[in-house]
Amino acid sequence: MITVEHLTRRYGRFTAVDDISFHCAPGTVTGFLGPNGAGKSTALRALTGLTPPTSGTATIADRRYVDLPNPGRVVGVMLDAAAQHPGRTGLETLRLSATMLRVPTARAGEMLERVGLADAGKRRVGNYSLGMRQRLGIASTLMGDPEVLILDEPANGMDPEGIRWMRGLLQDFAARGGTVLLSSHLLGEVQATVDHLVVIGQGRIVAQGALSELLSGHGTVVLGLSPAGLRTALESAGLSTVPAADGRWKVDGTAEQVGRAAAAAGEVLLELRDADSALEDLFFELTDSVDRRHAA
Amino acid sequence: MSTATAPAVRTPQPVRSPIRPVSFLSMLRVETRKQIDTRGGRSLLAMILAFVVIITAWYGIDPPDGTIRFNQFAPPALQILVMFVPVIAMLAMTVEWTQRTALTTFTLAPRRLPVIAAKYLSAIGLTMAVVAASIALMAAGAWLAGTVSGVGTDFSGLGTVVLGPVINGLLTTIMAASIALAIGQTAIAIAVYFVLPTAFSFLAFSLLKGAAPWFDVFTAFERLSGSDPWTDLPKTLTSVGIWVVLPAAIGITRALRREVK
Repeated sequence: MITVEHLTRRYGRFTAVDDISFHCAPGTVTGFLGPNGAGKSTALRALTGLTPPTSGTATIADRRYVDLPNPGRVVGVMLDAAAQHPGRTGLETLRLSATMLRVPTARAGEMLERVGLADAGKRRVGNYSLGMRQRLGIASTLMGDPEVLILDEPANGMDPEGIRWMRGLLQDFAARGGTVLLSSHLLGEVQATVDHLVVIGQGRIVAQGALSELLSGHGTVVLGLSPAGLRTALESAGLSTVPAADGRWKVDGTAEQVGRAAAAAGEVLLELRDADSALEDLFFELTDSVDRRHAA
Repeated sequence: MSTATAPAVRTPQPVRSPIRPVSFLSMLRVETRKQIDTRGGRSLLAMILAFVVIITAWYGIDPPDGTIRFNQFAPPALQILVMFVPVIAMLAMTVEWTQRTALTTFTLAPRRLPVIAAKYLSAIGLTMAVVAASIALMAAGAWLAGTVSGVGTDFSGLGTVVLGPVINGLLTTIMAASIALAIGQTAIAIAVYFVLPTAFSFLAFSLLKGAAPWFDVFTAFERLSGSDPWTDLPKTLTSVGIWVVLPAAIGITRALRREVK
C-alpha cells in the first residue's frame, strides 16, 4: 500500500513535484503517467527516500521509506534498469541483494529463472541488452518477496513480447494482493497493464482514478447502413457528429441516445460502441491543458 | 533479448525467513564483495599482486650483493606498493557514483552513514589484506631464492621492516578513500591523490618557507609509521587534518546529502 500526501519537491525556484496526493491499494496496478520532465522520477525518488521532499509525506505500508527496517523486504524498487555495474554478472548482482536483504542466496538463481535469464546469469551485465537489464532489475525487486513494487519506466527497451510477459507478471503480483506502481511516458505501453492511473503534468496531478472511469464519457462510435441518413437522424436529435473511419460517426452522446435517435428515424445500425483510444486523447488533452495554464 | 525467453508466469516461492533489519554486518559483507566481484576490481588486484611477484622474482634472481636480505629488499618494494595500493579503496568509494549503482545500494539501505562506514572499513580491510598478501609473497619469494641459490635468506628485522609500511599504508588508504569520497569521480580522484599533496608540498616549500612541513602529509605519515610517532605532533596533526580529516568530512557530508540519480 502506497500513500502520498501533498508531496512537494522544489529545486531553488523550480517546483519539480507540486503538491501531489494519491493512494495505491493492495491488489491494484497503478500507472504513473506523464510526459518526460513531468516530475515522475522525482516523485518516485521522494517516495523511496532517495530525495528528501520539500514538504508533504509519502508512506509505504504506513511507514516512511527511510523508517522501514529492511525496505527491500517490503517494497521492490527499480528506478533505472541501466544503473547496474557492467562488470558484474547478473547472478552476482542478485546475490549481493540477497545478502543485504538477509534472504537465502539460492533465491538469486530462482529469480533469474523466473525472469527468463537463467542462461545469462553467468554473463556480465555489460553484455545484456536493455530489455535483459529490465528483466534483471525486476528480478532484483522480487528478491525480498515484497508486497509493493515501484518501477520507473520498466517497459523501456523491452520488445512487445517482453512487455506482454511483464504485464502477466505484474497482474499476477497484484492478483495475489500486491500493490504495483509503475511509471511510463507512453500510454500505449501501460494501458493494458494498469487498472488505475495517476496522470502528472508539470509536477501536478491532472487526473487520477480507475482506468474505466477515466475512459468513460467520451462519446460513442456508430456505423449505419446509410451513413448520411444516420447523420441526419443524429443531428435532428440534437447530437453532434464528427466523421470517423470508414463511414462511422463519432457522436457526443451515450449509446442509448444514439440508438433511440436511429430507431426514431428508422436507420439500421451495424455497429455501436464506446469511443476507444480516448485515453490517448485524454493524456494529451490533460498534459496540454497544464502547459497552457502555465503559459497563460 | 536474444537469450531471454519468456517463461510462463509461475507463483514465486515466498521467503520463509522472517524480515530482519538490514545489519551492518551484511553491509560490510556486501561492500567487501563488491570490490572483488567485478572484472575491473579483480584486474586491479591481479595487477598489484603481479607487480609484487615480478619485483620479488627480479630481486631473487639477481640480489645486489649476492645474499638475500629481506630487510634490504622489502622496504623499497613496499614503499611503491603502499603508494599504489590505496587505489583499491578509491575505486570502492567512487564506483557507486560513476556506475550509478548507488541507486540500488541506497534503496536497499536508506540510512547512508552506516553504508559509508562499511565502505571505509571494507576498503581498508581489503587494502590491508593485499598488503599482507604482498608481504607474504615477498617473504616466500625471498626464502625460495635463498634456498635455491644456497646462500640462505636473512630475515632479521622483519617486524620493523613490515610494521612501518603497514601503518603508512593504512593512513594513506584512509586519506585516498576520503579524497575519493569528496570528489566522487574515479579518474579525477586518482589524479588528485597522486598529484595534489606532492604539488602542494612543493608550493608550500617555496611560498610558505618554514611553514611548509605543516602541510606535508606524506612526511607526517612517515613520522607516524616510524619509530617515534610523537615527534612534531602539532605538524603531524595539522597536515593530517588538512589532507585526511577535511576531505573525509567533505566526502561524508556530500555522500549523505547528494541526490542519488
